[in-house]
Parts: sequence; C-alpha cells; structure tokens
Amino acid sequence: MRGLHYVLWSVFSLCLLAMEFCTDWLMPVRNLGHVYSRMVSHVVSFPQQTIVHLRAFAESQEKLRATNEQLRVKLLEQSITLNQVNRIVADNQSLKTLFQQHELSALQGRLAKVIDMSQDKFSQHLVLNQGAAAGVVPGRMVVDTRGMMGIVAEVFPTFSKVALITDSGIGIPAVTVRSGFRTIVHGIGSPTELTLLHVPNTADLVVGDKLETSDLGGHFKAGYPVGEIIAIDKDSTEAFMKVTVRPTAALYESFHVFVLDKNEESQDAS
Amino acid sequence: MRPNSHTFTAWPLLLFTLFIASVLTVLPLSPWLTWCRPDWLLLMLCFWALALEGKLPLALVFAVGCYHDLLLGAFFGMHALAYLAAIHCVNVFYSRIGYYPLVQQTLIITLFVGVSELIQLWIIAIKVGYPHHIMVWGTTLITLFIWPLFALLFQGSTPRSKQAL
Repeated sequence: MRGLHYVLWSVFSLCLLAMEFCTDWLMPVRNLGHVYSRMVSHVVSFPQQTIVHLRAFAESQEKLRATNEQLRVKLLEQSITLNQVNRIVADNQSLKTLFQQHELSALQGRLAKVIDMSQDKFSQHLVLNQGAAAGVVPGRMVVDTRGMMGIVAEVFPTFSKVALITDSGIGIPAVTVRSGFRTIVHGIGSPTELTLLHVPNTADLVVGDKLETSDLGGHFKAGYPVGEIIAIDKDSTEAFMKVTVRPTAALYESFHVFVLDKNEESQDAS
Repeated sequence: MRPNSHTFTAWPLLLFTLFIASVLTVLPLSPWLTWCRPDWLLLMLCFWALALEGKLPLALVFAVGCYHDLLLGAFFGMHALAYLAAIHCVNVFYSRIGYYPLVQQTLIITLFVGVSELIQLWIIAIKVGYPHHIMVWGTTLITLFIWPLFALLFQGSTPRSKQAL
C-alpha cells in the first residue's frame, strides 16, 4: 500500500514535470508563485533591509559631504574622459562610413534596479524592478558598468528575472579581443567562474585574454566585456582544453543595471 | 496512512516547523553560502517521518515539494519527486533508523538527502545542463553536520520522537 502511494505521487510529480517541460499550462500558477515568492522574500529580508536602512541613516552628514565631493571629482574626471570617447566614436563612425559598414548604434535601453537574488542553488538569477509594463521582454541583454551580466529570462508585469551568465543554462557567443577567436562562454553554476566548452587544443588562447560579446547569431550586441581567461588546462590526451573564465561584470555587487534593447541591425541580418 | 490520535495533536507543530523551514529556505545568503544551504524542508520532513513512525502522508510530502518549487521558482514537480523518494525511504526504514546510534542515523539521512539531490540534478541536467561544479553536493555534505544538531534540538518536542529518535 505504501509503495503504491509512493508510485502514485511520483507519477503525479512526473506528470507535473512533463507539463512544465513541454507546455506552458502551468505558467499562470508559476506567475502567481513568483509574486508570492517575492512577497515572502520581501518579508524574510525585512530585518536585513532594516539594518541597511538604519546604517544609511546613521551615516554622518560629514561623511555624506565627503562622498558628495568625491563623486563630484569623479564626475568631472569622467566628463573629461567622455569628451575624448565622443571624439573617438565620431572618428570611428566616419571611418565606418568610409568603409561603407554599419554605423554604431546608440545605446538604447532602460535602467533597472536589482531588488532580489535567487536563493535557488541550481539557478543564478537576479530580480529587477522593471517588468513588462516598462517594456522589458525576454532575451534582452543586461549589462552593468563593467560588462555583460546576463539575459532577461522571465518577465512579469512589475518585475523581471535575469539569468546571470554564470547560470548553467546560459551560453553567450563571445570573441577574444586579442586573437578574434570565436567561442561560446558557458555558465557552470559557480558564482565566480565561467567556462569555454569544446575548444580545440590548437586554439589561440592565452591566460589574460579578454572576451567580449559577439553579434554572431544576432541575439546580442557586440563589444560588451564578458570575462577574462584565468586558467587554461591543456591535456595532450584530450581533444579539447579546459578554459576557465572570470566574469568581468560585478554580478553580485551591482545594484543598478541596464537592460539593452534589441539590436536592430543584428535582427535585420538574422 | 492516517496518523493516529496520538500523533494528530502534533499537526499544528508540524505545520509550524515546516513554515520555519520554508523561511530558512529563502533566507538571503551570499551566492557561495547558497550552495551549502541545508535542505531545511527535507530535513524537517525526515524528522517528522521518524517522529510519526513512518506514517508521514506522502500527499503532504508532495505538497511541501511543490511549495518549495513555487518558493524558489524551480521546475514544478522537481522537489516533489525528490522529496517523495527520500521520505519514502525514511517511511520504509523508520524502525531501523530509529534504533541506529546518532552517527549511523546521520549517515543514512545524509544518504537519503544525497538521493534527493541526485534526482534534482538529473532533472536540472535534462533541462538546462549539468552544473559542472563540486559545490552541487554542498547540501548533502552539510547534512552531516546539521542532522545531529537537528535530531538533538528536536528530541523530545513531539510525543513519539523520544522513541523514534
């Protein structure tokens, strides 16, 4: 009898899994679940949030003034740098026009705030405060000031979930800056490491090589830093080498991120 | 499979402990510590399966598994399937496990948690790919340290736990 019950409930679980994998019938339940989960998470993290707010409140006026001064200096420095960058962009665009290539597209997208982090060990997700109402759609690139963070995986009316590049289900087309070697960067579930799968032993890669996104496939915009190769393990008995990459973006430290709009040029090309 | 009148009085406590376990499940932790987070809900179910002398209803286990999936946004049915396997084992072997010394009991519970983790990994591997990371076994390993505390902390909190544990 006990065995029968076990089989019955297990079959029921398998049916649920099959429905989850093959259909989207459970989507309404999942959506409700995410909203509920957000509420629970909000309540559970309340003490932590309170401490953060109290700490911010306790910061002295002098400290705030000093921070403000530092930020002013930083803004001035960056404004000067930006002028130089603008000049380089203008030069680059004129060169591209000269060679009859596509012009550089302006950065388009929306700023979002990270409001939560997935507590599931099998998935590396962040929750953003922008959802379908703000025009966020699945598949969009999410970047921070350092580089690529991930892809919008699920969108809800008021928030969205971003699968980080470290998630084991994510693969990003990338290219090495030094040698132009095209590859795909895969997440392995580790919060600090990525890997390159199926890279032949003869590939031109060295430790310290920087990887940036490639528009191969037409899904992502090119040129955003993805990571840096920190270890290469070549074994002559194996067909492929083992390459470990450290993500460039501050995946768990960034509070403000940018959700990029679809690359129109790539879309047309694909 | 109905719990007898003696254990029925423990139902509010059972539900309360499961609620506390679910809160611990979503308590914000740093990304590295997330890998070592004990499976609080499964440990709590194991404890109750022993305390209720193998009479923990599998419908409840299924419901708790689905609730876990809902909380974490995992695949529906993943935790339910994994928990059912582990708790069925506990339900079947409760009389032996109850008489084991604490060390042996910890090892066997760790084994059941490992089975649950393995099932979850299989499902993850089918859908999104196997996470090539040694820390996937963090939850199983941490059970070795958590279960003795768990067993000692809750010993005596239910009418039959003294006999079961």
